[in-house]
Amino acid sequence: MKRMLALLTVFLALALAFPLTVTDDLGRTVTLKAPPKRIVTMLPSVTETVCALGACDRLVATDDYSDWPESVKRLPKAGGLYNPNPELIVSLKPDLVLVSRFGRLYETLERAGLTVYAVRTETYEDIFRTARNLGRLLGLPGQAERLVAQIQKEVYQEEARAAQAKARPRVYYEIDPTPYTVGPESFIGVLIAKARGVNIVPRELGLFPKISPELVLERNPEVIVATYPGALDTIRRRPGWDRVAAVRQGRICVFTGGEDSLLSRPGPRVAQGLRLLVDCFHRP
Amino acid sequence: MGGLEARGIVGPHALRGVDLALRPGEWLALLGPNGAGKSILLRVMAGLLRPRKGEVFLEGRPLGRYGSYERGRLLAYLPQGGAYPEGLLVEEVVRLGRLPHLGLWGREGKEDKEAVEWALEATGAAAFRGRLLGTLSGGERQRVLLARALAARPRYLLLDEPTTFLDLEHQAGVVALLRRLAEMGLGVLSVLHDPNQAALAHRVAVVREGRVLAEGGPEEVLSEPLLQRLYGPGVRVFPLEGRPHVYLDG
Amino acid sequence: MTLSLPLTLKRSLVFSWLLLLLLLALVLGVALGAVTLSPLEVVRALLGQEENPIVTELRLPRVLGGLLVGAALGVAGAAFQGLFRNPLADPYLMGSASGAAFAVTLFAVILGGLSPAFAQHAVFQHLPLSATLFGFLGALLATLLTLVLAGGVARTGELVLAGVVVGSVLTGATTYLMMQDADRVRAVFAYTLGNLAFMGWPSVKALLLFLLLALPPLLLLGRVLNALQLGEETAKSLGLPLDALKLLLLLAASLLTASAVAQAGIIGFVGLVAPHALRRLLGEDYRLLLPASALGGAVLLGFADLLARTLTRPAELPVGVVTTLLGGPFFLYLMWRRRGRA
Repeated sequence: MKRMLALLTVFLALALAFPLTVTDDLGRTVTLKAPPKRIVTMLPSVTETVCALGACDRLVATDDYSDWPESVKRLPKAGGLYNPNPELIVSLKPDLVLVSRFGRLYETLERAGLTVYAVRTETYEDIFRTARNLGRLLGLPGQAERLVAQIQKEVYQEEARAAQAKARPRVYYEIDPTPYTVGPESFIGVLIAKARGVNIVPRELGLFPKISPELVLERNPEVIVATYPGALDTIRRRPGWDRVAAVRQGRICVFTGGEDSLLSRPGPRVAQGLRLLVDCFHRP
Repeated sequence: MGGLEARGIVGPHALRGVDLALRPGEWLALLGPNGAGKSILLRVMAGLLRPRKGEVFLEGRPLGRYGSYERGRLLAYLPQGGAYPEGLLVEEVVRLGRLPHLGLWGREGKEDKEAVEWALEATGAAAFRGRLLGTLSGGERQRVLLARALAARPRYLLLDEPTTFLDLEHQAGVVALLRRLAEMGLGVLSVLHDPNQAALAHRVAVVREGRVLAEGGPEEVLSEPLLQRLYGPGVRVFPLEGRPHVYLDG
Repeated sequence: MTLSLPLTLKRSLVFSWLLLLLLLALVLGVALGAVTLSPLEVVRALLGQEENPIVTELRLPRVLGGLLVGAALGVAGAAFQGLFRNPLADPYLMGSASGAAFAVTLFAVILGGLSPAFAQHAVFQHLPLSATLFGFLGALLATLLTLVLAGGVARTGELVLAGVVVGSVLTGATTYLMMQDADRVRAVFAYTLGNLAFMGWPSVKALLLFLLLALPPLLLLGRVLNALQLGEETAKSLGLPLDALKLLLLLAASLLTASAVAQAGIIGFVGLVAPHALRRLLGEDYRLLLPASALGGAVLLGFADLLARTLTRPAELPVGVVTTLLGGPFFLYLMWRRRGRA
């Protein structure tokens, strides 16, 4: 009897949770009649979050760049931010499409009668907010809380490791050789701070400023992180950069491919990205 | 053997077998309806177009055998209308005419300066020598361009419609100048569309449908029957003071 | 006999002003930048008394390089304006900008696409591959392609059309390549806006070499450009070996453009505005206009880069954006003047 009551409660909870009406990250109202069973994701970090919530089997397609976990590589690919494939998405008859808040893909899909939810995954806080929002959407709120807790635990572990090291090195983080760098309030900027590095870029310059090389020479960073191929040679060959501490001491960490994804996707694997930075800043 | 002679010119385009000789010291006017091939013939004789058949001889030698600067020193060509540098001074434009003598990098000598002076005086362009070409009227500009052609002190002058933009006063001036130049010893070949101007030349050649229809003194060639064949029945000729005058009968 | 005195005076004044502004651009360019340095520090660094890599390794070569790039673009623009008898021609008319952008994008794709193991392969290690080299070759090859498409230098109208075709096709190809990899998009896009950030002494030397190679022939051909303004038939009738001279002009100007684009990316307006503005002051004598455009282009780019480096310091604006912001109003002013006259 008690078991029947428990089951009934869960069933009712689920039943009462849906139909669900929420506001997405673009301020649009989205209504789901039942927990979605066929999901398309157009953001790699969202793909990872959905899978981390245990709902990987519900994915029917992802964007071109989603590549974790391994199983999603086999799914059909529906394009990227600049070249999405709405026809493919519609043909798969999904009951929920998760898109980026940039671009107008949601308009096209709405006209085709699909349910679309825009997700913002740009800052560190977005990781947890998105996990909880997706948990609600998928009917997995408990899972979401567990995921949030786990991520935070992993992050705290890395932060503790960093705190143990005595140094607080000055860090210059280059995302492309123009040069573009990251401001302290960006996602990567927050990770740098958590890894106990000091970003040489001041807050006033924004999230992804294009800076003058003079700034780097003046601030003389002790560690340089770069996330594009060929960075090591490019940086070492620059005029005047042989005086920079990081170049002199050979402390240039280059992360490309999968490692770059860890650092640029605000998602469930954030702690792994943080670990890369902690190892880079505080080499034993 | 002096003279600029075209023999058996066929093509390009309209020309279908033309023989024409320009002798030094005479002014030969080329007349004819539009599309007859007058401009093309002029360009062939200037060495700017190559005919499909036939050849042009300059002082007995085939034109193609001359070096380009050598040819430029003997033959000057003035196209109809066309481009002009607005931002150059009149004097600088005329000086460009000395290129066949100076080449690309030669320095100006006394002879060059004298030639430029003479060209400016002869065309009356000396009056506005210090002005920019773009600030002149159409007629003044035409005189400057003519001075440019003269600056090379050529032996033969080939002009395509040299009186087009000029008012009556300047037309008269140019016509008188062409005659004077011929009397000085130059061979002047000009394409004209006005038969009355052609009447003042030493010789007239009429071109129609790519062939020379008639050639000779103006009294012979500018006859009413011939002109009516060319231009239609409304054209009349009236002899006055020994020269034919062409007018339209409405 | 001589030019009217006021005109000679005016021309001397223009050149004097250009030289003065050039000097100013040089001095201010070295003194000012993202990092604030006192004049004493700067002078000490220049004299070698104090080591300051910001001055000697960053600013000085960057300013000099910027002046050289500006000079190259200015002269090439003037040459193209004379060659095509079009005062609105710019140095990228023959497709060199699109060629360079395409080659640089291709380079980025190759670099990103090849696995590190392959890139370490002996062939690649010995080839001095770099974005700069790719950009240079891309610009030159695009120009040659335009020449071939137009069937030679004979017909100027065909050259312009061929340049448009080559430019459009290469731009389309570049965009397609950029779409394949969103990460590359930003880096390549920045290239297309012009970038002097890492102009070092090797770049300055390369630019100097190309300027010394291609500038003298161009300057000596001033008289030819003047004759060309009378029309091609007249120029030919004056005895000029026109096709050979046009080809020489084209190659020299294209070499200058290619070297500029290779080092600095695609900077617009400099090659258009400098000769166009100086034309109003000096007239159309190319013997004067060509060297003046070199000076004018250098001054324009020198100040544009200074603004790009200091307006939002320590962040930098793309220099191509600044030249556009300077060039746009200039043309508005021209339009306003014309309306006034009419």
